[in-house]
Amino acid sequence: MKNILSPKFFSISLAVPLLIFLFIMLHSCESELKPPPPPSVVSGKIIYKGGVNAWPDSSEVYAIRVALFKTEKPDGFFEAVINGEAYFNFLSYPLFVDEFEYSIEILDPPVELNYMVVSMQYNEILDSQRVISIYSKSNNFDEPSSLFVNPGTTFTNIDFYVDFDNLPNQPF
Amino acid sequence: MNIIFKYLCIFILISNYIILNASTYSISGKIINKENNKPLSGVTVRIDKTSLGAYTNKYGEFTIDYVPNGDHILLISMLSFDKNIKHIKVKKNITRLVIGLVPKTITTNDIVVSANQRIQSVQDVPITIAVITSSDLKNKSINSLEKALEYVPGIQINRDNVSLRGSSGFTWGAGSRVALLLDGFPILSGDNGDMKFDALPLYSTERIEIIKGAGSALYGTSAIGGVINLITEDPKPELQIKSKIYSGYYTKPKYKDWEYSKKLHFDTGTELSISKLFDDVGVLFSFSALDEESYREYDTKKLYNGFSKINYRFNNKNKIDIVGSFSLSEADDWGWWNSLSKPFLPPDDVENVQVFADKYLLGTNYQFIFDENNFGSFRSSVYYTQFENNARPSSFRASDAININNELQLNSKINDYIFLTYGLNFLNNNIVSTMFRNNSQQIYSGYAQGEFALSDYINTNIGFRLDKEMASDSLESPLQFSPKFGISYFKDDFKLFSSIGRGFRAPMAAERFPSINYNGIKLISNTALIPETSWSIELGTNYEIQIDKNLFFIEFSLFQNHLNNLINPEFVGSNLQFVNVSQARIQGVELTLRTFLFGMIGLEGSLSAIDPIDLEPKDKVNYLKYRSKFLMNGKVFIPMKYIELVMDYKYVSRMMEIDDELGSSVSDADARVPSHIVDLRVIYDMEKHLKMPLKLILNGFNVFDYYRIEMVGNMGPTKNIRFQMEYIY
Repeated sequence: MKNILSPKFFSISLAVPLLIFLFIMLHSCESELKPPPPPSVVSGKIIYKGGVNAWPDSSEVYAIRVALFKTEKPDGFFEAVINGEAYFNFLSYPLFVDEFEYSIEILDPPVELNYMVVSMQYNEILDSQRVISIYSKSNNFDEPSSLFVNPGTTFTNIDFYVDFDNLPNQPF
Repeated sequence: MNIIFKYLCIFILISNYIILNASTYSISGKIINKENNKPLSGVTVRIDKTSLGAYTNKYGEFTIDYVPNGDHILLISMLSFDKNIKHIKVKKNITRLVIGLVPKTITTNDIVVSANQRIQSVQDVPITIAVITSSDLKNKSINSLEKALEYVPGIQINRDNVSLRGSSGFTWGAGSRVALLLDGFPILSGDNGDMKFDALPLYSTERIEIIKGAGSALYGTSAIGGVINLITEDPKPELQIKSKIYSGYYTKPKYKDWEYSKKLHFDTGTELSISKLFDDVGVLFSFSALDEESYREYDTKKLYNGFSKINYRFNNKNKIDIVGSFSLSEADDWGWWNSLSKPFLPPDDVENVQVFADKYLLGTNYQFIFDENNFGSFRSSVYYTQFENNARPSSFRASDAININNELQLNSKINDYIFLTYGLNFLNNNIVSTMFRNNSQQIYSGYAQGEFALSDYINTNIGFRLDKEMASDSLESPLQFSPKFGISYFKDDFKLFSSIGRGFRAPMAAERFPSINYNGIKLISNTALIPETSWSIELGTNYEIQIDKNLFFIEFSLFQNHLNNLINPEFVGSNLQFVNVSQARIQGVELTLRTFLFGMIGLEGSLSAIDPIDLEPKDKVNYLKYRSKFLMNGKVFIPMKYIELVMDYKYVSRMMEIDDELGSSVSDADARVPSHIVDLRVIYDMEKHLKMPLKLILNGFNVFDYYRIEMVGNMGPTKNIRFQMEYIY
């Protein structure tokens, strides 16, 4: 009982809550809400060689999309989308134009994009896709380039060149 | 029903007249500060188990007339002093009674009125009661009830809802599970059944009592999770004029991305109160005005409140209190944020709408004494709430509601060991609304309870209440029988108590008949709602111990609340509807500690651990929505000669569950984190320093500018620096 009444006891009574308070304060700084990081974006142009006149017949073109695949050799367009292995905008980009500026938000960076294409849907079925351009720094469809997208990173010059008379080999 | 009450009232008046001449005596004396023998003014001196009492004048003197012959207990109490309980035998006039009060170092709740609707020592009460004092309200520049309640152990504020020990989730305020009273008059709105946080006379409030656990056995509907009672000041014997002005600003967000305005946003307010007791008449008037620019865009508010209280003492056996208040406000109709990227801005497509709201209360409380053992009161009040917005016709909302309450209560002291309280209550809600349809609701009630002193150390409390609800266009509600039982053991500074009671809550018009489209969320009606009910049980103890001049107060309680037919807003398809959905069990523990060490530093802390389980579905553990598991408060204060430093800390753990469907309307609905809020305060008392009747206070709220939500899609208040000056004459 004597120990309980000692100044040491009171010092501890004072110190313990203050230490707990300091611990909580230090800990709390980590948990507060913060602005979300700016979106990671891949953007650029789709440039159609020969302009609007070079497009195939309208009955052969249903939608145009840019698809960014995580894997270098995806099994299929539809499978990759279902498995969350690809980024793309569901709505088609404008058809029968000379060029178009696209932009795709990458929702879960960091991520490496190993295969980036422009794909043309040629009928109403989503799986009916034909790759019409592949991003390549060397302008060689057989040598696809990759990008590593960090949180908040924006790539602005990821351009695609489409030549309807010289399409790349179809990957799927 | 109203006619019956009128006749009862007339009968009581006549009976009083007849028995007025019974033989009585007077008690007079003086109350002094035991430390310096100086007289204390404004001390409450009351006779236990009667309505007799007085306040001391500036010389510390008091007189209580018409005290019946026999043994009595004098309760002498004043804020910041330890209570004094004195046993006296009255067989002739008692004069020159001198009673000393000792200044206390830690806050304990000595005298309460809300537990059994009469003044009594807290040790007789078998439940946990928290008290917010007027100095807490004044020093923190509190101008709205929810801000006062934030630091009460076990309370979580979910924007418009007060959740007492996990009782409520988030329902846009509709259907409060905590009853709200102003001087005993019920003031939940007649349509929403919600608390109008900003319509209360906080500057004239002496204290706020919070009863934890079901209180329907005495208070009826809504007291399922507890009761909050604001007790306003009585007019002072000497003329008192006090006024307060304050102004503060919100600092700019610490993250550049969140900056939304180049100018600082200010909150400015002023309050004024005048009171005086003239012989048999006491008057108190107060007024307040507030201009809030808020910490976010499109969330401004202008508010004007007025309050008056008039006491008239016909004689020492009959008196009447008349209470009136009004509140007028104009506010932006903030719903939720744009997104976590723009938390201080509304959604891009939101319509710029203002809401205009008026609230008026008129209440009378007539108190009468039949004889030395029988007394009572008749309370009657009208509470009118009205609001409308200025939106285009498709979003226009308006509702008028009148809540009329009549209550006759009688008290009988059978002998020194048995005390009875019984009464009749009639509540009527009339609603005229574009949102909830025109409808009405009546609740007829009768109640009785007995307090039995089994020995000098053991008190028991047994009671029940019957309520019959009738509402237009609704399913017939079953008769509600709400019993309660409590027992307390106390000796010296130790108390052990336990209680069990049933609570119920009748659905409100806002839950039965809504037809609202709010920012893309459609709320539809459900006329098949039935009352929700609860059983709550509590086991608690408190103990005051002094070790080497240092006083420690410890309070601990275990509680469980079992809720049936819980009324919750649920998504039914794409629409929201109030439905009787679930059975729930809320268990928890609450620990409170207070001490004052070395005569220089005060520490207070509390921890509430709550386990709110939704018992349906039965195959997995589901937490009730919008509840947190841990609530913690801390306070450190260092009083010096004329300066006091205070730090408050509040922790609320991350809300466990929310409505996932809200995500379709509210961006980043799942952005929720634990809450850590630290407030700092410096109080400079110029009365103590320079004999000037001024008090200067610098408040820093959320000084670490900690960002957290107060509700889904709603960032909580950011850092606010506020200066306050109070003048008391």
